[in-house]
Parts: sequence; C-alpha cells; structure tokens
Amino acid sequence: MRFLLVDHVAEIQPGRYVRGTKKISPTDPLLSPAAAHQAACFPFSFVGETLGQLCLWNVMVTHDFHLRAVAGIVDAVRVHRPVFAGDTLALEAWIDHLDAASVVYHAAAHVGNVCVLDFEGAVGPLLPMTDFIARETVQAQWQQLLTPGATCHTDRLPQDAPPLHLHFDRILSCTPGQSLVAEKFISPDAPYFPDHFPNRPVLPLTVLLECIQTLAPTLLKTLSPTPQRYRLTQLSKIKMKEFIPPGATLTTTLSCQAHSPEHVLLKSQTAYNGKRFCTLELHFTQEPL
Amino acid sequence: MTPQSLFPQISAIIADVLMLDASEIQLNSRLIDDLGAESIDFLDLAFQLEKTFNIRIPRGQIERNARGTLTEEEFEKGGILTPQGLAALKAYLNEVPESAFKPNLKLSEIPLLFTVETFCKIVMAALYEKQTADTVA
Repeated sequence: MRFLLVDHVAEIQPGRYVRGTKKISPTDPLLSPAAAHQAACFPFSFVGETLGQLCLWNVMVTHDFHLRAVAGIVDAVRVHRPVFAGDTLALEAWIDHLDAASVVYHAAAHVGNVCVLDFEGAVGPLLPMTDFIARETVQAQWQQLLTPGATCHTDRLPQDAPPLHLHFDRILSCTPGQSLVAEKFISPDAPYFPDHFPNRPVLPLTVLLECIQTLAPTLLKTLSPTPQRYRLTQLSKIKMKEFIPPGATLTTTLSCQAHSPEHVLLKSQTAYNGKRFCTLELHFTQEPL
Repeated sequence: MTPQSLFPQISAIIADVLMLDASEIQLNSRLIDDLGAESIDFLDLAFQLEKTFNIRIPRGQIERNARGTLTEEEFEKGGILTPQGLAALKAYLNEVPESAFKPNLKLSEIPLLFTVETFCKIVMAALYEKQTADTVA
C-alpha cells in the first residue's frame, strides 16, 4: 500500500501555494468499511493527511528536496462532510510562512463546490530529507505527480497484506461519563511504514488521529443514559512531539472536558514509554437519531 | 508596557502550550529546565504569540537581537559564542541570572537560557515595532 496520497499536482507557486487532486477509488485501502445504509467513507484524518502531503510537496520543491516537513501542530481542523468512494478531492494549500526551520500553512479540500475539510494553523518543523528518504527517490515521485494520470497511489491491498488496524487494541479502564484509557500496539508490519519513511519508519500522526477518532464513540456513549448520535465537527490544538517507531505500545487517555446538549469536548493525550507525546481536542455536536 | 504587565496573558499562553497549570509558571521560569518545553513547543509558542498579539516573531530573532551590532563572526565561531558574543547575549538577556552564562556557551544551548520574561520582552519589542510601522504608514 502506498502512503503517498496526492494523485496529481496541477499548480505550484513555490513557497506560496499549491493545488492538486486525489480521486477516491472504490478499491482505496484507506476506505473505512461501509456501514448499513452508508457508502464506504474515506476517513477525514486521511483527507487531512492528503492536504498535509500536498503542502509538503511545495516545501520540498522550494528547498530543492533537501528538507522535508514533519507533523507538528495544527490549530484547528474543521470537518464538514464525509468523503465517499468515487469522490475526487480538489486540494489546496497556502503557505503562510516558510523558512529553513519550519512551515506554517493552511489548507482545504473540496468535492465539487463543497468544502469537506479545512484546517488552519498547521506548523511543521523542517528536517533533512535524507534522514527519511533518498533525495533522488522523492524527486522521482515529484515528477510523477506533475503528469496527469501518471500516478494512482491507491493500490488494492494484496490478499496477504497486514491490516491497517485503525483502532485501539484494548480498553484498560473506563470511568463512564468521564474518561477512558486505551492501549495500542503499533505493528512493525503496518503497511504505511515502507513509505513513511524508507530510511526511518515512524507512525503517521494521521493514523493515530484516526485511531483516536474511532475510540471516541466508546466514551461518548457513556455520557448519556439514552442512545445519542454525535458528529465530529472539529479537532483542535493537535500537537505531536515525538517520532513513534514500529513496535511501540501507546496509551491514550480520552477525557470529557465539557458536555452540553449542543456540544461535547473531549481531550486526548497519548503517551509512549510513560511520556506524553500527542495531545488534541475533539469537538462533537449531538444530532437527532 | 512592562514584562510584568504582559506576564498574565503570556503565562496563560505558555500554560496552554505546555499543558501546565498557570500557577506553575513564574516570570523567571526557564522554558526548558523548569517548564519542560521542547523544540516543537517553541514553534507552537511563537505561533500562538503571533496569533494573539498580531505580531511577527521571526525565527532566530532572539539571537539576532542579542548579536546587535556584532557581526556573525564576532558573535560566534564554530557554533560557540565568543567572549564578545557571550557579553552581548548577557546584556540582552538581562533577566537571566549571571550564573547561567557559562564560558564557551554553544549557539544551540541559548534556548536553555530562555525564561518567561524573555518571551514577554520579545512580545514587547514586536508590539513596539508594529506600532512604529503603523505610525509611519
């Protein structure tokens, strides 16, 4: 499975702006399984990943492929509507500041005229390219992106491919209505590691975000004695401080910070080897059943 | 405007960035040794301060401010501050105790000196610069 999510770059203004596309194929291995009465969805975390990768191409081109940005901070991610198989994402990223140390940018993804996801206040530290991947390799990937139709990074997972496991392995504890603690083992066989990255495999932030997103309903359903439906509307104050290697065991604490009929705010803190390395807030609205 | 007058607002931002209680933060708290800040936290802090105060904090600004009129060669050699450079840094970071400035201090070790007051001074300088630019305009 390729973890290069942008299909084509249509326009680039180095250091300023980049535009591209991604088609969500029905065989995309990142599609979540179809639920009853609903088509398979492309998880919003990976819409965000696609936008981040799009901006990253601009950063790499601007720095002549000597530097690449890694995940750091995102101030706010707004989720507007699901993305389904067959949709084509129109992607845009605007660089607010770029130097040799970091990039600050904001981005948006549309399907047709509808914005499906946007984020602002993304800050990524820049690190030497060769720490992660050979410069020649990424230069070749870039050339493919410039040719319409040349790339389709969505490969069907082989029959014997390891699963993505976009969920936590077990709940360690749960205080209904307040918090829960869950554990996840990051398998060295996870299919995103070969691309992320060849010289230094590390857990993609967006994989962790997707796992936390799938964990949230376990706590949400303890907030009310009667069944409720919640829709994720925003992630905020996302921060990732460490590179997480294959084979790591992570512990996430999810806690309810605020709960009203209109809005639920959860806070997530994830630790590795006893050290907290990823934090974020998740905002939900309640919807009629 | 003084560092003390900015302290409540800036310490609240630092508390948010470092996920600490504001009561744990003093004006002379060192960001790294006392408050546990890491490099990504400095990026986050700069971004939050820029957003809150509508200012620009160029990366490396503290070092440039400390260098003042010294050339780069007069300030540091091979990544180590010269005696002149150390004196200039000490004069600029006058909120930091004298004992913190070791001979042969490396450029990479300068962030270890930063206190909450250091960032109050950065914001003050940026606000003054912005006010001056707005007046000229």
